[in-house]
Amino acid sequence: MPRLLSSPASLAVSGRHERQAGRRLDRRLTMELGVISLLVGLLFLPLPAENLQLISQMNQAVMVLGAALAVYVMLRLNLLHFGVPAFMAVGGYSSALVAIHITDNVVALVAVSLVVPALVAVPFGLITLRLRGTYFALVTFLIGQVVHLAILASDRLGRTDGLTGVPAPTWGDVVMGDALTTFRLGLVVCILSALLVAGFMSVNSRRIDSLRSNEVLAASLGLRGWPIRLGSFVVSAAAAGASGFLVVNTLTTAHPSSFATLSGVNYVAYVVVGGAASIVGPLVGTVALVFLVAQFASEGVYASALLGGLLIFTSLFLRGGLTSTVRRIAEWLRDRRTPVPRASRQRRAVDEGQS
Amino acid sequence: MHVRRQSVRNTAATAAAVMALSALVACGGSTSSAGAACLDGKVKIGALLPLSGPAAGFGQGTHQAMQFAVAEANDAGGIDVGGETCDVELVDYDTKGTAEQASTGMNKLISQGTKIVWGPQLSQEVTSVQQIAQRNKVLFVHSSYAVNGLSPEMPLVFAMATTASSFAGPMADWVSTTYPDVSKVAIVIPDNQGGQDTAKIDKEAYSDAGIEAEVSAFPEGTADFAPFIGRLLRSGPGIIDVASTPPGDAAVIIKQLRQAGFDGPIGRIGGEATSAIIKAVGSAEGLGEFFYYAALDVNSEPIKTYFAQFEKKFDKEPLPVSAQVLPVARLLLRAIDEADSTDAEEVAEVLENMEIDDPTMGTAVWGGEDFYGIDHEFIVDFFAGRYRDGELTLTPLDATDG
Amino acid sequence: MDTLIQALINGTALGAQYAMLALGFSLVFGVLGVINLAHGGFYMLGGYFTYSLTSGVGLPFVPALILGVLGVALVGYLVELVLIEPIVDDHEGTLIVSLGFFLVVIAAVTVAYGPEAVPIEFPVSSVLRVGDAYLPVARLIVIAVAALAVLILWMVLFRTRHGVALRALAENREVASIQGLRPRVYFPVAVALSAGLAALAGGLVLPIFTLEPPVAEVALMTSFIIVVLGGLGSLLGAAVAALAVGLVEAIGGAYLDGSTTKLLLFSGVLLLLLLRPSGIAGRSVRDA
Repeated sequence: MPRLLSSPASLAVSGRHERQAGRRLDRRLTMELGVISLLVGLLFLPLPAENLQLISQMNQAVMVLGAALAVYVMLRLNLLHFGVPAFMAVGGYSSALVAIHITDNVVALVAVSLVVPALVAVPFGLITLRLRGTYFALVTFLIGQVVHLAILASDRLGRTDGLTGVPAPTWGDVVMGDALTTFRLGLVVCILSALLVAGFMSVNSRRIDSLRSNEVLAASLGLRGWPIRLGSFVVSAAAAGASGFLVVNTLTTAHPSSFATLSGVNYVAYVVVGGAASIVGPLVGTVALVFLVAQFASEGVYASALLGGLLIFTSLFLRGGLTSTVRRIAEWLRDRRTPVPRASRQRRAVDEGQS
Repeated sequence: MHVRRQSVRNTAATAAAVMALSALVACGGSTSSAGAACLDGKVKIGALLPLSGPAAGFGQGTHQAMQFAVAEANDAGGIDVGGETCDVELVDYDTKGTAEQASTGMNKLISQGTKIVWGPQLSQEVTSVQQIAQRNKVLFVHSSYAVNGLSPEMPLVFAMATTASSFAGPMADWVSTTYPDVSKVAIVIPDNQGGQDTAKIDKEAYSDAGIEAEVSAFPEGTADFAPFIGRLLRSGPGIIDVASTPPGDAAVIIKQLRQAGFDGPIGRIGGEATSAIIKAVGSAEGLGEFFYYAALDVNSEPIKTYFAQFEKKFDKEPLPVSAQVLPVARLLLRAIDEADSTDAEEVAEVLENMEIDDPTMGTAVWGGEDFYGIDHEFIVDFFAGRYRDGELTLTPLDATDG
Repeated sequence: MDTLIQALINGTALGAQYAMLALGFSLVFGVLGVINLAHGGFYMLGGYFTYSLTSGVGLPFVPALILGVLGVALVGYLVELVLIEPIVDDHEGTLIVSLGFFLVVIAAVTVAYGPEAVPIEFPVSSVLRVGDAYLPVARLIVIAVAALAVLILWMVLFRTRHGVALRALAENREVASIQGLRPRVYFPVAVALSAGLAALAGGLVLPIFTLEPPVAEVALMTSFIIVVLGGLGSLLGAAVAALAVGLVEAIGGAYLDGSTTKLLLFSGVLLLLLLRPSGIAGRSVRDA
């Protein structure tokens, strides 16, 4: 907890905190840029088009990365968001409707899938503004249920059949229908989502950190929480909506079963397993779990047991997720080469606790 | 600056981890060699089914049928592919009943060199794999009742069991003859695609038979049907048809209908699940007056033999639904053997021209042209089953003629 | 009128089951601050343990139920000690660990008992007639047992030393710990109590309905909405909300179709939260 400014000693302490905070923000920004560069790099990487499994797996990961980012944005505020499938559905269905009835231009479709969920998120965001902590989580579940039921009740949205035969997006004369192009389109959409998320979080990084560590104190210092919370919720919805568009595009169907409420738990798992300290976490978690689920699926009945076991293992032994664990291992290795004085090790431990 | 170096190192470390993971993703994805002989003496058949989740009962039953057929074929020495005799290997993928996993699974099976797939099962799974299967020339066999489940544009798709479009008509006719005083039927289904598909077909069949039919859908996940039943009974139906309602839910509906005092016939013009329903209700007496589409006679000798053989081989009782799809499982393997290849088009041609006389289910034909435009639906003569006071009578109904 | 009476009867019976489920869920959240995604699993296990003891071992229903409940409570106790306790302050971690356990339990049950519903029957199957309305005696028993369970829970929590300890830990863990109340001792008890309640609900209710693996998920979703409506951490709120949800479902279901009823119910709860963020009776929730 940040100390109150009252004495020269504590000023020095707070100065150190400032620098540590600065270092943390710096690191996070580097991570964000790193991830975006990685995604851009993958865009230009020549991939073997005949290797269906590789393309399919990578597409699967890219398809749901936006959903993981949606969870990540809220988790930075210590809020668990289980309603991501609902906003995926809004993005997916609205882009499907546009593709079927208005235009299949890819820019329009992506724009719709970002903007419409963002708008829909506003009233829901306002409802959840006053909710705290894990209470927020349960309510987002409810939101997911409401949206799911509303879709099932709507004739226009195809009810239980969904909207089938959604045309492939086009860019001028190019029809983006084959597997490799679908994957690349997914990458572009993910880059957009990542830029959106990273941009929002960079601009508001200090405010988010303050809200996260002590909301009451932040409020007493004049920081209003609600614009950040609402903003995060809206950005989260946009990222989720874009992911929904990719799901519909891959399956060429907007189907209610693709956006089942309980699947929201999966996206939370991706972020928690990957680590929520930076944007690398959702990426790592998504890739790892999508890959592992596909591996486990070949085990038939034992598939969910294996996944369950993995989740238990990562929660108990990989605290903070994969990325934090990797970082701790890297630091431990570094410490073994150059012994670090106990005082700064302790300071680092405090740092860890706050990131 | 110290900070920069640290951040760069951290970024590098995590980027490396991410790269490694992506490389892992690439593992295990070998490109396929179509139609060739077996690899390491084995030929792979994919099983793309809901092995967990709400549809697991049907999924696992369907899986068991292929497991048995594969074991049978291997015990007999294997099947011929590309001039060699190979053992059959079943490669599983659990779709969990979702379209995404079905699509992922199909991609994975294709990239592992599988050209013949047993499954998927549910309507949304079928829709999500149709295009990719067609593009990659994969033959798959499903059991969905969707209106577009089979079509002339999809020459490599087959249905492993008689679908509602073929059995609803004769069943509805039987109902109108057996219960001539009934003028109104309430069709009960879960509010999902499979349910709505079946209800549409059943409603038309009843109406063609001169009985007015109304569809009542309940939300998935309903545990207590008492309120739903109250509303259902208010419309005064003479018969209540649980169509393709999953057996667990159907059992509750039946129990609560009887408790509510409904004495009329309860029926099931939908997928075979009567053994499961009786198990869940507790006894055949608990059903009251009950009729159903009986794909098979569980007490017939061939079926009993199959059950005994399965139990001996796998050390557990098979799910009865496995018997229903066993013939097509066997046919599929035989077709590969006769075509001497796993090339989907060659196998499809052999399969659709096969004479069907199955040791467990008897004679059958490929039909369905009237409804689907292509004769790729497995049609076998079936029965109208009827329980009264716990006693079962089976009336054979003809489906293989015209 | 008869429809309404029937709906009221159904609604009360539903509410009674929901109360047993939701109270346990609320208890664990209140005392530990943990959202236990495995809660539906305990409900399902209650049914399956009772089934194994009746049909496998041959015990009569009531002793089987009691033993089944104790068995599941023990499972809950161990789950807390082994899986939750090491990371009890990590909210995301405990959530994921409980999810993991939930998946493992469902897979285990599917392998052990098969994916289809198992034949288990409630020992009493007679039906009372009240005019045109019907009331299965089994549901009356469920209402009675639920009321008794809630009463006993209330007495334990408000009239015994240990119950007060649990409540103290829920109210303010730091102060309670300073006062000598050790979370290490009480947390497993809280989860055991919660699991036992869920198992009681399952063991009683599932034989009336159907006992198969998918029931666990439905139970979980139901617990969520009731606890949200009733206010996290408030047992009275959870009980009232359970009854309210049961009645709305029954009355709504009697006049409208099920999906519309659900939609109205959930939307209604969301609107209520707009006005009253802490639910019917929740205290202003501590920042979890």
